[in-house]
Parts: sequence; structure tokens; C-alpha cells
Amino acid sequence: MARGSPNALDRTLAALVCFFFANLYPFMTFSLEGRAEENTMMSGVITLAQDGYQPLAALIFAASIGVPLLKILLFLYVLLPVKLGFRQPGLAQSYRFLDALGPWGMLEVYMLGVLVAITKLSGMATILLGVAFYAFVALMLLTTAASSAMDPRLVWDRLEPGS
Amino acid sequence: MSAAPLSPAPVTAAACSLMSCHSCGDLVPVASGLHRCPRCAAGLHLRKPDSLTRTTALVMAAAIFYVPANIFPVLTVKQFGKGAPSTILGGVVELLEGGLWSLALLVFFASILVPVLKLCVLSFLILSVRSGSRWRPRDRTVLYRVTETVGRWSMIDMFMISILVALVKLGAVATIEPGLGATFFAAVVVITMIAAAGFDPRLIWDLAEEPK
Repeated sequence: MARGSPNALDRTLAALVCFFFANLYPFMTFSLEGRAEENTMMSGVITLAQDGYQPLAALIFAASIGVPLLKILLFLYVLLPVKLGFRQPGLAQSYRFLDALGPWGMLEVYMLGVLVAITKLSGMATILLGVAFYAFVALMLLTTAASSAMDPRLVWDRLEPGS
Repeated sequence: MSAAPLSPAPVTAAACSLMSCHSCGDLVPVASGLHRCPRCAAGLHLRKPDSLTRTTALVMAAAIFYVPANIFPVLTVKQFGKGAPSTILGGVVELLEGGLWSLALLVFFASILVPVLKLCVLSFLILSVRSGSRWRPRDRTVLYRVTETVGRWSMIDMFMISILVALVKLGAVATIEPGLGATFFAAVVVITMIAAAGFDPRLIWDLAEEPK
């Protein structure tokens, strides 16, 4: 069971912490003519749903919040028992699900969307970046680092009869 | 173990009556009659089932949605009550007029070039396999791989819209509202992503390696 970097677990735990900061704290503040508006990652989803764009809201939620969180939790489910030395049920299904979620978590793409949004608004008003923005950057880097440290053979080897 | 020299005609698993699991890569004899991988329990197929039919249907659906996605505005910026709806292409032009050419290039690439190229490349791959083409299988596989990887980046504009509509809600002073085009555009991105995932690139090689 030595194959696969042990860093994958550490990075996933760190990503989970960043996930909470990125979602619970203000992402950025927009101020114009003495009025200020603050948003979190969820407020885009909520506004779209209220304006009657539920399918789009669902997609944005899935790609930027739901799938990334699910991926972190599945990573923990796959990796924690290896560290603690017990066998979890549904290991193969969890890993296959993780694999299928692959392209639908779009943190890096969201990051570029944020960049375009900031630039678009910078001519119109003042933008202040919040705690969540920095947590989000860390979250994006950590999930990428965790994925690259994860060796799928770690899972398949464990499923071989006799292991 | 020394590396075996590359044979001019590589042996495929299918030619040895073996199925390779899509999920964990385990090789299972076709004769075993199994429908699930004995190691990871994923569905087993020699090739992705109905790959061409599914991909064709999805590409056609995406091409249809592509038209309203570009005709309808994706967002409306209202300042002091006056609104200016803009389409996907309009957004790129605005960035360009604002002198932000590098960002304009990024959005142009992600929102206009990528969806069009995806539809063209997938159509081309489907047609080439359907017509039994043996033309440059390796280049066609690379084309497929790039198409599959790059597709999700078209979502940049949708994320930008979700941020703008939430942030700019200052009543009479300034508001940004989403437009119908955004829903269609998101549908195009999602459908082409599913279409690309449903195409089986091994179909290209099956034809290329058939004895003449």
C-alpha cells in the first residue's frame, strides 16, 4: 500500500477547510456612489434562481460548489480508511463516481470567470476582494494538487482478491 | 522485464477477445459472459454502447441550441434605468472597445471559438468513422482528446454572469440582469461535453487497423 503519495490526504483535508472559508465568507464587495453590495459564492446561484433561471443556477451550483464538495468528501472516503487501516464498503463505487464527476467540477474555470467579472466592473465601480476570494484560490490549488497526488491503482490494488 | 519492440500492427484487446474496463482498466475475457467488471463492478463493453448514434444526436441538439444562444442577450447592464442588452459576441466587442484585448481574446476563445470548433470536430469525427475513413487516425485521436479537454472552459462566461448579477443589484443606480441566451449557451456547453464523453475514440482505430 505504499504506492500513491500520502500527500493526497493532507491536501484534501486542507481543501475542505478552504472550502468552508470560500463559501461562508464574502467573496467580493462592489461599491458605487456610496452604496456597497457584498456577495458570496452562493449569491450568484440564488439571484439566478430568483430571476427565473433555475436550470442555469443549478448548473452553476453544481460546477462551482456541489461537485467540488462532493469530490472532496469522496476523496476523504477513499483515502482516510487507507491511512487508518480499515476497509470501507463501496470503495469501488465511490472511486468510479469520483471519476465520473471529473470534468464537472470547474473551480479553475470559475476562477477565470471571476477574473473577467472583476475586469468588467473595474471601470464602473470599486471592487474589494474578500476572505473567500483568497480561500477560493487556495481551494483551487489544493484540489488540483490532491488529484495529481492520487494514484487510482491505490484503489484497484486494494480491490484485488487476496490484498 | 525488457520492453517489447513496438509491433507495426498493435494487438487490441478486442482482437484477443478481451474487454477492457472503462473505469479501472482491468482486462476481462469476452467469453466470461460478465456484464460487470469483477474488480470494480463498472459496466463492461467492448466499445462504448451506441457511441455514434448518441454522439450524433447530442451534436445535433447542441447545434440547434447554439443559434438562440448567440441571438438572445446573455446579460443586460442597466445604469440609471437605461439598459443595454448584450449577446455573447457583444460581450467580446465590449471588452475589445474597453481596450482589454487580452481578456477579449480569452472570452472570444472560450465562448465563441471553442463551442464552434467542438461542434465541427465532433461532426467531422462522426462522419469520418461513419464513412469508414482510414485518414490519419493518430491526428484524429489528438483532435478528439483536445476537444474533450477544452470543452468545460466555455463556462467562463456563465460564471461571470452569475457573479455580475449577484454583485450589481443597486436598484435605480445600476443592475445587471441575466438574459435568455445564457440558458441556451449553458445547454450547448453541457450537451457538447456529454457528446464528447460519449464518443469512443477506439472506433477510429478499429477502422484504421482493419486488414485491407
